[in-house]
Amino acid sequence: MSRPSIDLALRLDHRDVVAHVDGRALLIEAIRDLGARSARIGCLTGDCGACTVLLDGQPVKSCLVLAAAADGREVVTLEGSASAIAETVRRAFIAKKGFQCGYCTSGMILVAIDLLEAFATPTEADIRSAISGNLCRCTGYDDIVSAIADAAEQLSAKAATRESPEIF
Amino acid sequence: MIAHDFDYHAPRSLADALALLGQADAAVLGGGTWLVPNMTYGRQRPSAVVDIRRLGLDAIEIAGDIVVGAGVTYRQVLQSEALRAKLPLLAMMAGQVTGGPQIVGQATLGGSACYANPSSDVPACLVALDATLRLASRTGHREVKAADFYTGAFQTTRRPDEMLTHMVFAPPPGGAGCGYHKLKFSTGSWPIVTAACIAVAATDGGPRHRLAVGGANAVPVLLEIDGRDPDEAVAARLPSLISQEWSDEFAGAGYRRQVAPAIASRALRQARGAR
Amino acid sequence: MAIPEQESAANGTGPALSHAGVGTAAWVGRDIPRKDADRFVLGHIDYTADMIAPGTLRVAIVRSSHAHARIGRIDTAAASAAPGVVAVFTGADVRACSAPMPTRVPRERFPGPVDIWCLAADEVLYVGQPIAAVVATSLNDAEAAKSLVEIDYDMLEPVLDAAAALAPGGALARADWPTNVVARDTIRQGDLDRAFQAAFRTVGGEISFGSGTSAPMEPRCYIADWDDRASHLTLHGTLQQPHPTRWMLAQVLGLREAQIRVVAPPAGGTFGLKMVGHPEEALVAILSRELKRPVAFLESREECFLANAREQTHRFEIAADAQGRIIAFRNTIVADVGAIGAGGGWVMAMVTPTVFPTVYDVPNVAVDAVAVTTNKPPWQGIRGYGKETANLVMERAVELIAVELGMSSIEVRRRNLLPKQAFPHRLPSGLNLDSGDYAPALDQLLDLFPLDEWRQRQQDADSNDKRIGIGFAFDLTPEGASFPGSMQAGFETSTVTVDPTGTVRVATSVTSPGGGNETGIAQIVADVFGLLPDDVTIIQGDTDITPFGTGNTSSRSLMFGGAAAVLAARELKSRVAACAATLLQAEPGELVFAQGRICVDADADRSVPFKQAVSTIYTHAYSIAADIELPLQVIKTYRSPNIRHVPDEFGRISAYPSFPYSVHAAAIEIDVATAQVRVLDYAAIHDCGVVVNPGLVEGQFRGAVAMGIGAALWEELLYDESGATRTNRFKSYVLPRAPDLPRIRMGHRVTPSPFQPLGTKGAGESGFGGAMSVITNAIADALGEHGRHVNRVPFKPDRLLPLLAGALS
Repeated sequence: MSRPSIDLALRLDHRDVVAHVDGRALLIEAIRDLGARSARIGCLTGDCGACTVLLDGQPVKSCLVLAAAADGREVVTLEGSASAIAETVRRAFIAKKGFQCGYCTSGMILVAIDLLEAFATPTEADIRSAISGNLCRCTGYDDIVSAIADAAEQLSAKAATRESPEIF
Repeated sequence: MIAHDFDYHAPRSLADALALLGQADAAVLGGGTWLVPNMTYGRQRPSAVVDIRRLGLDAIEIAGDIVVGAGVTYRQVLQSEALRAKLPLLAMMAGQVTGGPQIVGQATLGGSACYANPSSDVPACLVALDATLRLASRTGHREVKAADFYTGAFQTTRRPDEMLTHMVFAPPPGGAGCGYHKLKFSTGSWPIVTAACIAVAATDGGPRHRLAVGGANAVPVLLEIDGRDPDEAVAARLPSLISQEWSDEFAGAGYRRQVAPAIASRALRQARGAR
Repeated sequence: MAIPEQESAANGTGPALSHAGVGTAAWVGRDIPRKDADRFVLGHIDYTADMIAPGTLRVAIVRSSHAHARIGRIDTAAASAAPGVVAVFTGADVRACSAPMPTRVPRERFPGPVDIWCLAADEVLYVGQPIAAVVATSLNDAEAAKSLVEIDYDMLEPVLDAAAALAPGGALARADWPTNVVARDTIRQGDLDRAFQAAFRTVGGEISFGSGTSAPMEPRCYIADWDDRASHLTLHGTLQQPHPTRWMLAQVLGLREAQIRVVAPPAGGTFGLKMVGHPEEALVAILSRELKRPVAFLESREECFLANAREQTHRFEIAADAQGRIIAFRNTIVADVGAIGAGGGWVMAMVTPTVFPTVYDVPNVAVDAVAVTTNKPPWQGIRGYGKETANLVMERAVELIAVELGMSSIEVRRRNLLPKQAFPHRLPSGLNLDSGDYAPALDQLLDLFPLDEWRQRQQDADSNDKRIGIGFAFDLTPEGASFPGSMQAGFETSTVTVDPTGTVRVATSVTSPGGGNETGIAQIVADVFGLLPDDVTIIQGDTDITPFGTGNTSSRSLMFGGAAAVLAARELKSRVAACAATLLQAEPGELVFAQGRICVDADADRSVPFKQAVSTIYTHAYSIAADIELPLQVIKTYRSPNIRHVPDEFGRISAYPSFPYSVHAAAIEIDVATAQVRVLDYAAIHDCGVVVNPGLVEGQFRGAVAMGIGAALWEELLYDESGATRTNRFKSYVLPRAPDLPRIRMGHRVTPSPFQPLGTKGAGESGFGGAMSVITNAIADALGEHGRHVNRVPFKPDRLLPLLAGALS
């Protein structure tokens, strides 16, 4: 005996997908079942931020979204995030050791990209505020903050010298 | 992971939404920041979920009165220049909401208003601003003053078949100042005590203050204080108004009553200074 | 050549990172990026939960709603008939098809029977204890059916705190035990009574600690897949200790180890939580074998908050002479370790007493510790592992005696720190401190932390509004635990293989909790062969591939697993050198391995690529390589010469080989009206011996400090009057977030361990206790003379406010 399922049409990481999912599914559960596993489940209460994705371009905690409510909308996870800013942030996270276990990293990087897309020259306080919805238990945040600050600097320097962005 | 079965609806008309709400045990879904985790952990088990996202309740209208749709998010408040100019208190409050950019973009004012968590920012802010809440149901519409809306912790006068559609604010008189102060022990905790204040210049003997304290009591506490040095009045009157002191994992009995006057005074000072 | 064959006790060398005694390391000491870093930032790491295959059955656990009761009838009929449900198991079902879980220490050491089943069969001992398992085709369906399981309880009187546990004639937390006392320890050195009588000043105090939990971002997850046709079980899980988990499963299931493969995929943080012994590890394995289908358990965050730890009370007394020398210290510890499970979390309570008097040279010491079992959830391993509370109590005692002496506490520390020449130094517990250079670390800290500036700001602050407090604290963190008679076996094993193309594989028993030890191990092995870390692949967490060892606990990865890899690599290097010597017509002793080549010492023109020498060995087994043992694979185990399980003349053993230390300074601000505490500045000096990768060590240390600040200020598990956990989400058990913390400035010292081949000490836990302590001392400082009354960690404002009021009156 099975439960009622719903039809869900999504644009997920730049692909159109149609799926039957459990009507009770959360967005995080649905997209993970569809293969977008870089979004993680950490609390399902909207506190940890590990499930952060972009929903119609806005960062959301996808455990707070019913899968059914995302029908017809666009979801981008870390794996689908591929702008020049995204690649700069990724490189900075590697260079500054902005992760340890990596479980929070998908959410952290997505939030960092969102910050830098809106705001090229954040202060340290801006950065700490931007990641305040994302918990990290390993780093104490300093290396994450350094990575985002470093990415911001690189992007500003690039903008100043009008260099074309490198692709990761 | 939600265990129980429910029907999800995203109606396109208010009438359809209200018809659904008329059924037993339906829940209104705003930003989802309360309802969805409550369903995940089995604390709320509605048989139907009525999503308001297609109802057009996410608009901010300023024409005389300021009408804020129940589905307006904190981010929309912060991004509305007109609202920031007309109701700076609301913007101050929204600017201090934590949970990161995700929650600021997901959570709605209307959802927070209706959930009536004693620890949330919104209820006391609505009381300070003397907001009028518009409630709609199949059987009609009514308006309730924010101060009358809150009846207890997580309790309001909203009936299960009613939906909050708008919050209506009369613009504060010109020259009014406002202040918002919030005590939180760390970014991740609930607010412990909040204080929202509007200070209006009066001709006789100094400003009039409308002050609402949140977090300290099961429902927001409202004080109207006249005079140039209102701190003494706050210290004298506020503790006794906290008749159902709120306590939680962060602070036990007595704490909020003790610290509330100081938080209130800070908001008062800010409101006078900002005038 | 990167790593000397013989390590001497080299000197600590001031603030710069230095690796005296390590020779011409190409990679050791360098801050290189993490291995697989690109996969982390692309989101391509698969954690255990990512490996739940479609079609896997999911289990939801019905947990006790009572702290202490006998289980009566369990009615599973309705749940069994619910949509999607495949089976419902109870304790009786589990009993019928498996054996109890083995305990961390031998069962005969407990005061009563300890048959631990993964589902309670008779008596439940805490709210949240697993009673029944609902298995369904989806997690939603399994969870939905949980509420249909009906359980009758016969209530027993619960024991919910240590005082009740110790009350004469009081209730028993386990009905079949004669006592609630799980273990006691008594440590004596010198003549306490005489020392206290002769003292110039004495002072005492009490400190209690609330419960804490590790809360890694990744909840626990186990996936069992029983292959019935092959009679073989594969368990993937969030496991720090895959080999001990296999050992446990073999006993529970009655299988040979060869029938079980345990895999630990990359972990999303562990911090001690994911050590062996959780009931769900055994449960999924039993369910999979009985149902002949793969079964997965994924812990909810609410369940994760059942992991309890640290609740304890200390009563201490300290004595000093007129010169400020601490002459005696005594302490009585009572720890409430909750219910006893299969895991070893409660052992933390028995580690605490062994750490006294930490970094100080105190001739007379007495510590009495008792661990009592109650009907709260079991302790689970947590960073600090009991060492953090000892440090905090000692640092408070030093502060209090400094006040009595009228001296600065910095000066009291200086007069009592163990001097460098005192090492190795035997603590009263028998632990043998390997090395240390404490006083210069304090000097170095004062270069990093602007004490005078903060004192000025403290004076300038309006004491009716904000008060500033400044704190200092040392931290000594014994690392590398090796407990006799336990599967915390205390040795680690690495198999190093040089493959035919000249790349290197290291399969090691130590797992990675996410701190980057694989990168460090690659660096030290690369240095042995003169290769790049990228040429070295590290394989971890698979009992079919990696050799036996404890796994990752107690910061042992580089110290043990890395050492074993170096020993194996050195042997392989000598084999490759033998071949190269033939090719180059040189003596093996003349050869230098560097930059992928093997050169004759002084003659740059005489060299052969490493790859060529290796290829020659693999392809010329009957000629050039005839005398070289094949394949190029060596397995080595590393046991520390600084662990002693044979009791000394006082009956003491030494279960920890390595003693990193740190010294911390912090400035905090207290809002007088609310007692809200904000951390304004933080600096620390850390010494874990030779540092292999500074970025990794700093990251771990900062993480430990953040966790320590959280434990001092915000994090506390609370239980209601029924024994249920009230703090069950991140909104009620509050972890530090980025805006809550100042930037943590840190410096290194390098005092190599003379006992470890690389001179390294454990890194990872170190710093946690120091952070808790320094925040405590800073808060006490802000309270002025009332600071002596701080007695409860964490320092929640509702507890601080009365003290603050006292401080102002």
